[in-house]
Amino acid sequence: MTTLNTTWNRFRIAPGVLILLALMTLGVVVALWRYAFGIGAISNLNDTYPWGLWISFDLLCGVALAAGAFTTASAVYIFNDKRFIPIVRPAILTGFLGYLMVIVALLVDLGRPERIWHLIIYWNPHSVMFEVGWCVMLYTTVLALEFSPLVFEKLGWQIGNVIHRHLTFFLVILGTLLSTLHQSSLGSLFLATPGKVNPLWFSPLLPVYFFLTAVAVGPAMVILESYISSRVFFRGLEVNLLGEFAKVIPIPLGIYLLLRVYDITAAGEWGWAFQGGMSVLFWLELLLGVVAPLILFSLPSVRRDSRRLLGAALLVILFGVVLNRFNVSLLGWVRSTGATYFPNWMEFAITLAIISAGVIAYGLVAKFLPLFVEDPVAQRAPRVSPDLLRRSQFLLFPDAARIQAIAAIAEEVDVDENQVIFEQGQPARALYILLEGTVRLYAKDKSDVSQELHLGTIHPGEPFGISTLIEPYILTASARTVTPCRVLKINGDALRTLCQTDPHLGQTLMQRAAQAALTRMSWARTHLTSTPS
Amino acid sequence: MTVKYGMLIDETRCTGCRGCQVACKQWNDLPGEKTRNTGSYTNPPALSAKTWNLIQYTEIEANGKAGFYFLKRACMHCEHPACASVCPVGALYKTPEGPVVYDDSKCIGCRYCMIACPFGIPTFEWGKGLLEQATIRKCNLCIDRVSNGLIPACAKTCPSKAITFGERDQLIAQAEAQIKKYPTRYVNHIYGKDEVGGTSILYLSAIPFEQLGLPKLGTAPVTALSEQVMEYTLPFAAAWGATLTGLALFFRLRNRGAEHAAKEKEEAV
Repeated sequence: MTTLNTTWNRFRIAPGVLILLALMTLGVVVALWRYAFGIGAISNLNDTYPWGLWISFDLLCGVALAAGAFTTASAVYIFNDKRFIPIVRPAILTGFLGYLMVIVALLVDLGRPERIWHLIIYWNPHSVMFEVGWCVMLYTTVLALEFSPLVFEKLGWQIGNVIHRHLTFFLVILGTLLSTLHQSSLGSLFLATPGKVNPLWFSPLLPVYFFLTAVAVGPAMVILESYISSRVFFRGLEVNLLGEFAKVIPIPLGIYLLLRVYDITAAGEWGWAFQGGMSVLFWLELLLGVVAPLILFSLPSVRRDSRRLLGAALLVILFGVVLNRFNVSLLGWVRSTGATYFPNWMEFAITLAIISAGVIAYGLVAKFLPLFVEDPVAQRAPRVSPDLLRRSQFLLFPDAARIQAIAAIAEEVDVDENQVIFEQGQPARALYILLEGTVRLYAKDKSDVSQELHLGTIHPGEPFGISTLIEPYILTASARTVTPCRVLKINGDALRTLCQTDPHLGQTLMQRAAQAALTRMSWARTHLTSTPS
Repeated sequence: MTVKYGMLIDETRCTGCRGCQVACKQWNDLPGEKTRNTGSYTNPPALSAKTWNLIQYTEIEANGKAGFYFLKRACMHCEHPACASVCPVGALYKTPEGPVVYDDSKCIGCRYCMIACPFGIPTFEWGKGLLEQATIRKCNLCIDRVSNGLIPACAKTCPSKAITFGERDQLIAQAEAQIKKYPTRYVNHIYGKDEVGGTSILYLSAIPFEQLGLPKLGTAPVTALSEQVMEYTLPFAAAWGATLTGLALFFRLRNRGAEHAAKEKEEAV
């Protein structure tokens, strides 16, 4: 069992990434097939169902679910709420990747993908699709510019700062304007098809509905994305921040609910809500996707709990938006002929490949670009309670100022059991203090990598990752949680800077680190020599 | 003054011979297609990129006896064509002479025309890859023949004179006279005179048009609403852009004021 666990832990990321890469490869093959033999060769689309999975999911859901970018950006730069600065970059990235994914999907779905640029030169101002095309093009450019400072920052080019400082205000207003226009226009697409869409969904207010649901799903997507990235990248989850952001969701949802109820009543179409299969989807959408999250997000007990927050967010995403877009564009359609449609497996393959590419791109950006910036406001104030630091002998200083300084660069992180926190040989990026639980230190055996050498057990109050303080700042052991743990994570770069600017603090920490290292070494020696290998 | 053409199809005269279906294929050089027995005489079962004109057969009981009724289905050449209204690149457009035609050098293949058409007419070449260049296909009212003084192939070939090609206004007058002359033979309605704002193709029938297979539609173009929304878009964008800028400036100044006040207070202490 131990061996198996070890193997899995060492390739912790690998199985997931391999699956994603395999899906991408399959998608590329299917796409090549489509370019060679036509859309009919890989899809079940037909003259009665000209639009299917790709339009309903990749385009309509894709654009709506990328709304986190403009909702977050407008919260910070239009409503000037600086608290949300830490979630802006990840939200912009999700949005940017989302729009790129939509464009890739269109390059498969369009009959003549090589002519997508015709939208620029041939104009038909009567066409909603013309407006959607322009807005998506322009907004993707805006997102690219909003994202560009990450790249420039990495390269050390000043232009990133210039763009950020001088263009952000303009870009955010333009981005919000463009988003309002095309989020709503995706609903307007179906204003041209009266009589074809079930009356429970067809309404002159479709553009308003699409916009309101996009505004509501934006923060929900930020919650989902933060939750996943906190698990994958061992980041702290800013539950308080997300809970505050989630407060906004009931507003668009409430207006949306009132309008829809009023609209169906005024049109006298309630009869449709009690007949046929579509009525079931209608109630699912309305109760689970609108009413339930409306109530849940209004409750402080939900907004303070990361899992409940996630659950409520998933309701809006899956039932409020995804199901709604499918109902409006595909399921709720009354067809004139008896033709049927269910997506071909290759249509799913294209969609899954695009999602996989998006996930991998997100991972690469998170790994190589400064995606998770520290909040400049929070950096000045302690990020964790100084009392937490006092729980550890390692960080104990008689003066409050030094404890405050360390608290400002520390964060509290929850880690599940049997998770690798860091691995031997990696750069030491952070010093950890265990607050609750048990952590095991181990080394890899040079001759047999599947073997682990137990180097010691960390108990609450003890430090680990002390290579962070000692040159060349490379980890000499790996650490894995034995039980669910709560750890204090102190930013390595910041801590080293602090040690330089405050030599007394530096020397004290260094002494304690050396002491800890020696204790651990002598323990390991007795332990290793007494166990036959 | 250009003559606005149209076509009057008197379904009571149609014998279901499919001559028009064949003539259409011949003139437009359309290949045959693999078909199957669907239990109906309608063959192939639906319009497609290879079949732009199709006779649909309906067997129903009407006026107390079983009857066999025919519908010649092809593009209606609407006065306000939904396909042309929604096409993002203007690949489909209405000519002043009547035909709604397609410029395949512009089309990007989004298939919104197929979604929007109230009659389900435009079809797509599903089996063509990048090199073969898939296009939207549909009847073009033989614009190449009409612009050279000929009448469309289907009208030319019809042996029972069910299809009359001519000036739309005159055809309407002719249809009205026909209904007046034989009130028991026809349903008292010219389909296409007012449907979705009027169509170039007009139908006369012995049985209600929905039974024949034509959709029941209002007199307003189906794209009236979406075009109206598009008209409001620019003014809305200007107003919303100004509102957003105003909001952003307001919140920025308010926060700056608050920060300033806090600082002053701090300094005073």
